[in-house]
Amino acid sequence: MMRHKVLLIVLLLIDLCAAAVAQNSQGGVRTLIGVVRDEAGKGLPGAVVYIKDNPTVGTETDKYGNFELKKIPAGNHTLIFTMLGMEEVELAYTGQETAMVTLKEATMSIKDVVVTGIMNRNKESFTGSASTFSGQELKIVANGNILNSLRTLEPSMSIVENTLRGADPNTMPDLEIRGKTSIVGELESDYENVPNQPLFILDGMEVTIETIVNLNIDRVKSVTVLKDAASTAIYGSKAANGVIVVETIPPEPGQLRVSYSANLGVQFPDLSDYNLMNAAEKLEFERLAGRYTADAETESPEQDALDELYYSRLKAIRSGVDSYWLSEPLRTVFNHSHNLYIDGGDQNMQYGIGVNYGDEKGVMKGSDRNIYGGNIQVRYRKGGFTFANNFNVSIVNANKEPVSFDQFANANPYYKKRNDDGSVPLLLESIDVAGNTIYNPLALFNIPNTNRTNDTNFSNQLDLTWRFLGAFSIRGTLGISKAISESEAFKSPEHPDFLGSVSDKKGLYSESRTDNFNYNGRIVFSYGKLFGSYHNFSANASWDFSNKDTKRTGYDIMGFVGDQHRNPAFSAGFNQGDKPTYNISTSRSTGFLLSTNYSYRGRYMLDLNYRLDGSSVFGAQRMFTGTWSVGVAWDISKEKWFQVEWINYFKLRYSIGNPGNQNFDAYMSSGIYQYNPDYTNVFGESAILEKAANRNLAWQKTLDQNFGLDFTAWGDRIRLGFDYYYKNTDPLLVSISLPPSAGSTRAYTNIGGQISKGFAGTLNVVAIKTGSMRLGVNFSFRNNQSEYVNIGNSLDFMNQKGSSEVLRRYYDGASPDDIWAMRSLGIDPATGREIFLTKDGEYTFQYNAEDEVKVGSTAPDLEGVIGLSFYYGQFSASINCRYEFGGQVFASALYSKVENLSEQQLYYNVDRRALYDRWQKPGDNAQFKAIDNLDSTPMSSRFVLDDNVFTFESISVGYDTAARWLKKIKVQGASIRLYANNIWRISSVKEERGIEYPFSNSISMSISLRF
Amino acid sequence: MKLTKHIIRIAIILSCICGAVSCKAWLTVDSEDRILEEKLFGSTDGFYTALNGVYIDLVNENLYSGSLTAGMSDILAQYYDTEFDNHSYGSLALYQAEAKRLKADPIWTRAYFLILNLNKIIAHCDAKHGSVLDDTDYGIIKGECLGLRALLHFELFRIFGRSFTLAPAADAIPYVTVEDPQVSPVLKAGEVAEMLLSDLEESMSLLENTDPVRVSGKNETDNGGRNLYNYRNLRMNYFAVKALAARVNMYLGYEYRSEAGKLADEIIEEAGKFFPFSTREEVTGQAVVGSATESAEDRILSSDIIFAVYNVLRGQDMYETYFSNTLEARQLLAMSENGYRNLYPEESDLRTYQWERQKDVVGNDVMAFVKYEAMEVDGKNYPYMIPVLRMSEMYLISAECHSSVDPVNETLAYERLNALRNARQTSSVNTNIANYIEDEYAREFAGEGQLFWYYKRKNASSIPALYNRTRPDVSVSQDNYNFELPQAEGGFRE
Repeated sequence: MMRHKVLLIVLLLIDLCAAAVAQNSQGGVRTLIGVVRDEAGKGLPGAVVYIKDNPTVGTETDKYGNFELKKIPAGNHTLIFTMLGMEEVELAYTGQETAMVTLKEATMSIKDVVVTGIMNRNKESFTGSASTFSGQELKIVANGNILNSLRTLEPSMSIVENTLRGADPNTMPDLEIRGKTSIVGELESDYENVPNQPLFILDGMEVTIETIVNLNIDRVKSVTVLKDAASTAIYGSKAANGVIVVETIPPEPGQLRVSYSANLGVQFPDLSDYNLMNAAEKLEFERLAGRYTADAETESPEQDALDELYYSRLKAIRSGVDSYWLSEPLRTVFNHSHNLYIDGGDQNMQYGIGVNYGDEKGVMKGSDRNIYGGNIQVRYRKGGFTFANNFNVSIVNANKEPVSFDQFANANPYYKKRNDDGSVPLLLESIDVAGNTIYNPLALFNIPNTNRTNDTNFSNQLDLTWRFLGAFSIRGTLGISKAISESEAFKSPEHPDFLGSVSDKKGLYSESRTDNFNYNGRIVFSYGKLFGSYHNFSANASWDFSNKDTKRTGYDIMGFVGDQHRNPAFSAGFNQGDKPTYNISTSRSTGFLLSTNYSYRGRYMLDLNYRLDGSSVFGAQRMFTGTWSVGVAWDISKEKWFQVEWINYFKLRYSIGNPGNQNFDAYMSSGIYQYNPDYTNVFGESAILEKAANRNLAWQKTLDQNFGLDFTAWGDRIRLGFDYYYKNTDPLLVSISLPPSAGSTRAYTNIGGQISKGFAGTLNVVAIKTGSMRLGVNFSFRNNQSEYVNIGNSLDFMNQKGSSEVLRRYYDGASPDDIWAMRSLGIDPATGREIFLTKDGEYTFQYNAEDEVKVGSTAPDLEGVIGLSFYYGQFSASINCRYEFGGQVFASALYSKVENLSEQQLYYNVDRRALYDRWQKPGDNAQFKAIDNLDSTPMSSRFVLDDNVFTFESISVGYDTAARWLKKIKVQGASIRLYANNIWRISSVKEERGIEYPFSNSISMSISLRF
Repeated sequence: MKLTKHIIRIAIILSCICGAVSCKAWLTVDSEDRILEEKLFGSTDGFYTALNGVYIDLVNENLYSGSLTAGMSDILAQYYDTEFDNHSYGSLALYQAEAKRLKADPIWTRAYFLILNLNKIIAHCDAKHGSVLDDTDYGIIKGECLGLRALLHFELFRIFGRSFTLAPAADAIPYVTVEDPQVSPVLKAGEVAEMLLSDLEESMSLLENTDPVRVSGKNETDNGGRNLYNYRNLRMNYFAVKALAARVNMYLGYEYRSEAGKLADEIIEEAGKFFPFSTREEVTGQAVVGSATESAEDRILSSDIIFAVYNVLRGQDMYETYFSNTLEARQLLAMSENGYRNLYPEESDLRTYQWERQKDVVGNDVMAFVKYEAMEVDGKNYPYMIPVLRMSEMYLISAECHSSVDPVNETLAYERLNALRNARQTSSVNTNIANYIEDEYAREFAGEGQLFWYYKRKNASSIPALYNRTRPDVSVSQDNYNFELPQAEGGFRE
C-alpha cells in the first residue's frame, strides 16, 4: 500500500492536471486532489479523508499532506477531514477538483478529556472509571484546599473525619477512595505511606498530600480522580488506592493579562458537640459518685478533710465560681489567601508568573499555618516541538498549639481560672489525698511550649514534546525537587514536666530537619492513528524513573535557665549518652508501561495496560512486579439501531485488573537486620533481626472489577454516572499477634480473603432551564461492603483475645466494619447494674465472650451529597449537604466520659449525662449504670448507636460581572462569591468530637478580578 | 516509512530490555543501618555479623548485664541487703510474684528473640553449607549457634520450669527450633531436657574438629581484623558447650550426675592448661602494670573463664545501675560488713578484691560490690567481661559428683575442691564436702547469677541471708522458686 502511494504521488506530480481532467470527464466517478495542513501551514501526514455517508470511499494524506480521493460517486457529498488530535472538518463537495483544508488542533474541553497525568485521553474512548472537575466547579463548593471541595463533588472519595484533631490546619486529611484496602489485624505504623492514601500527581509529577493541600485553589485548572483498575494501572503498584491528578492553569497566548483573586474567611470553633457539666453539676456528681466519702467509718479525720473540701467548693460555687474553660484557648479567626497571576505571549511563546500567599490561623490560639508560593511557567513551541518549564517554590510556616484542647475540656468548672489579683495559678489543686496534682491548663498555655515547623520546597519540571510523522510523538519530562523541613520545639524549664528534675535537665529544645532531594523523569512514546474511518488505534509506551534521597537529622538538648534564652547555645548541653539522630535513605523506583487503546467507530472500545514496576523497597527477591488491566466499553447511543431521540449518550464500561499495593508490600517478604552501633566488641560488625519475615508469604493480590454506566439525556439535562465495583483480595495478608516465645510479637501470614463491593454514582438533573436561568439538582451516593472469606477458624484465637475490648471479629462472612459486643438490655432499675442478654436469650449480669454477637456495622447503608445549584444571569448559588445513614458507631466518648470513669477521672470534668442519666437509686430507669460504680464497663451494645448525619457542607452564592464601571478602573471582569462551610450539622449521636483540637465552622468570601 | 516504524519499535523494545537489566543495579540501594536478610547471609562475613549480633545482645539488661546475673538471680540468692525502706528490689528479695514477673517476663521476651535470631542463622547455615560456608565456618557457626540456643533455653528452663528433680513431667517452656516466628508448643520438662542435651551434643560434634580452642586455647591476641578465630573465651567455644552440658546434666539430677562428672573431668583434663586459675599477680594488676594497681585489678578473675559476654559499657550497665555508692540508698545493691566477713572468712581470698568498704549516699557503711566497676587496662578484656561459664564450676561439679555418685571417690572429690580453694588462696579442707561446695558456689559466683539456681537444683527450703548473717536464714518455698509463664503467652495454645 505504501509503495502504491509513493507511486501515486510521483504520478500526481508529473501529470497532475491532465489526470484530473481525464477522470473528471468520466462523469459518475470523480477524483479530488488536495492538501491538508495545520494552522502553521505545514502539511499534515496521515489525515483521513472520506465521504460522510459512504465511508468506504476514503483515503489518507501522504507525508506532505497531499491526498487524492478517487472514485467519488455522483452527486453532492459531505467530506470529512479528520485526524487524531485535530478538530474534525466537514467540507461540501460539489464536484470541485481541488481542496485545501486546514485542521485546527483540537481544543478539548475539560469534560471531554481524562487527564491521567501521563497522557490525555479522550473521555469518549476511555473504558475506565474516572471523573474530572474543573477549577471553577471546585471553587463553587469551597475556597479552601481543593480536597475539601473534591470530597463534596466526588462520591467515591471520602475524608475520614478526624475526631481527634478536628479542624487543626496542620493535620493532613486522611483520604480514602473506595474505602479501605484490607489488612487484617493491627498494622504496625512503620510504613512511610498511609496505607489507604491515594497517589497524588500534580502536573505529571508525584507529590505529597501536603503539596496538594497547600496548592492555591485559584491555580487549579482541573482535578481528575482515577478510580478503577483500568484507569490506575498506568501508575502500577503505587496506585492501588486510586489516583488524584491535578493540573494547574497554563499560560495562555494573548496580551498581558493580570488576574488576582482573594479568599477571605472567618472561622469559628464548633463546640456544639460538647456537653460538659457546670460547677454545681460537677460537684453534685462527685458527691454522688462518692468522691467525698471516705472508705473508713464516717467519724474519721479522713472524712473530716473530705467534708471540708466539699463544703469549701460548695461555698465557692455559691459565691459564683463557674469557670467555662472551653473558650479559653479558642478564638474566632480571620483567614485570607491571595493569588496574583500574570500571563501572556504569542502563538510560539507563552509565559506566566504567579505569586500567592495564604494565612490560615487555627481556631486554637497558637496554631497557624502560613503559605508563601511562587511559580514561573514558560512554554515555547516551534513546529513539532514544544518546550515547557514550570518552576515552583513554596514556603510553609506552621505552629502548633502549646496545650491540647482536652486539658481544657477536662478542667473542673469549680476551679477559679485566675486569682483575685488577675494572676493565673499554676496549680488548680495541689497534691491531695490520692496523690493527684491538677495543673491549670491556662497557666500551661502561657508557659512557652512551642512547636514550629518550616517547610521550604523548590521544584522544577522540564517538558519536551516532539511530534513527528503525524502519528508519533515523544514526550520527555524531567522533574527535580528539593524540600527542606525544619522543626524546632522548645519547652520552658518552668513547665511542670520538669518539676523535680535537676537544673541541668530542666527545659528541652529539640531540632529536627528533613532534607529531601528528588529527581524523576519519564519518556513517553505515543502513536495514535485513525485507520480508515473506523479504526482508531493509539498506543503509549513509557519508561519512568524516580529517585528520592532523604536525610533526617535532629538532636535534643536540655538545661535552660529561663524562657528568655531559647537559643540552644544557652543550654546545659546534651543529656548524657544522647546521640544526635542522623539517618540517610535512598529509595528508587522505575516502571515500564505499555498502554493501548482501540476503538471501532467510536462504539466499541478496548483498553489494555501493562505496567512493570521496579522499586528499591521491594527487597532483593521481588524487585519487579507487574500490574495489568483490561477495559472494554460500548457506546450504545452510537449504534444505528439504538436511536432514541432523547438519549444523547449511553455508554457501558467494564474493566478488570490487579492493582498491587506498594504501601503494604515493602519489606514484608524479606527479613531485615539492623546494625548495632551502640555496643561493640572485638569481633567487628554485628547485626540483629529488626524484622523477621515469613519467607512463604504470598503477596496480597486484589482482582478489581468495575462495571460502569455513563448516561446523558434530554440535551444534557439529565446526566448519570454510575459505577459498581467488586474487589476480590486473595490471599489476605493478616497481621497476627504472637506470643513472645515466637521471638517476634507480630507476624504477617496469609489467611483467607476479602471481598469488597460497592457502588457510587452521581445524578445531575437540570430541572428548569429558561433563557438565562437554570436550576439544577445534584445527588451523589455511595455504599461499600466487605466480608471475609475462607478464613475458617484460623483466627479464632484473635477473636478470643479481643473479647470485650476489641469490636472486630474474624470468621467467614464477617465484615471488617462489623461491631461485635454482648447485647445489653440496659440498666437494671433495681440494682443499677447492666443486664446482658446471652446467646440463648437469657438475662445475666455477667459479661461473657461466648455470648458476643454482631450488634452493628460502621458501614453506612448510603452516604453522599445532595445539592442544588441555581444560575440566573451572572448570579449563581449552590447548596451541598452531606447525608449518611444506616450505619452504627461505637460511642467511645460516651463509653469513656459518661461511664467507665475511674476514680482518677472523677478529678476531671465529664459529660453532663454522667450526672443526669446514670442510675442513682432503686427504681431509676436509667440509661447508664450506677453513678457510684467506678468499675470498668465492658463494651456492650448499649454504646453502639445508630449513626445518621446530615451536614450543610457548603452553601455558596456568587456574582460575575463585566460591568462598565469596572472597565473604568481597567478591570475586565470580576466575580465575587460568599461561602458558608460546615455551618450546621445534625447527628443522631450526641458525642464529643475534636478531642485534642475542636472542629470549626466557617464563612468566607472570594473575589476574583481580571485586568 | 514502514521501515522507520520497525526501527522505532525495535528501538523501544531494546531500550526496555537494556533498561530492565541496568535497572536492577540502579534499584539496589544499600541502607547505612540496615541490611536485607538474603544479602547478609550471602557471605561468610555476613554470617559472623549476624552471629555477633547475638553475642552483642547477650549483654542486654534483661540478660547477662542484668537480670540473669546481678539484677535478678543474685538478688533472689540474698547477696544484697534490700532492707532499706521502700527498697526497689525489696519485694523481689521477698520473692513476691509481681516483682518476679516484672523481672522475668523481659528475660523471656529477649531470650526468645535471640533464639529466633539463632534459628535464622542455623537455617541459613544448612542452606548455604558448601556454597557460602566452608566446612570449618559451618562447623564453628552452627556449633556456636546450637550452643547458644541451648544456653538461652537452659536459662529459661531454670527460671520458668519447676525444679526438675521434683517435677520432670510438668509443663516447662517451649523449645523453639523454627526460624519463622510462630507459636511453638510448651514442652514437658523431660522433653526440654532431651532437646537441651541433643542441641549440646550436636554442637559439640560440630565444634569438635573445627574449633581452634582445642589447639590454641582462648588465644587473646588482636589480629587487627575481625578476630573471628581468636578470643575463644568470648565465644561459645567447644569447652563452653561442654561445660554447659556438665551444668545441664548437674541440674537434671542424680541420674545424670555421672555424665556431668565425666564431662567436667574431661574439661579439666583437656582444657586446664588453656584456662588456668588467676594468680595473685594477675588479680592485683601487677602482672599488667608491674605493681599492684587498683585501676588494673582483674577482679573477675578472668583467667579461668571459659565463656564470658563482652560489654563495652559494663561500668555503666552494671556498676552504675546496681552497685555504685552514688546510687540512692533504695536503689543500691550492697552487702553488710557482717555478711562480707562470713562469706570470706579467709582474708587472703582473691575474691575479696570484688568488694570494697564504702559509704552510701546516706552515710551508712556498706560493702560495695566493685567487681564490675569501669576501668581501662591496655590490651586486656577483663574490664568488659561478664562471666557466664568458668573452669571453677567444673571443679565444683567434679567434686560434687565424685563425692556423691557411685563409685564414690572422696579423695578425688577433695582434690578437686581444694584445687579451687587453693587457687583462690584459701586453705584446704577435708571434711563436710557438701557444705564447702555450697560455700564455694556463694563465693565464686557473686554477680554471676549461679547461686540461686544451685539452691533450686538442691530444692533448698531455707537459704542463708548472705548479706547479713545476723539475720535468720530465709525460707524458700517451691512457689518462691517457681516463675509463672508470661501472661502474653496465654491464649495461643489449646
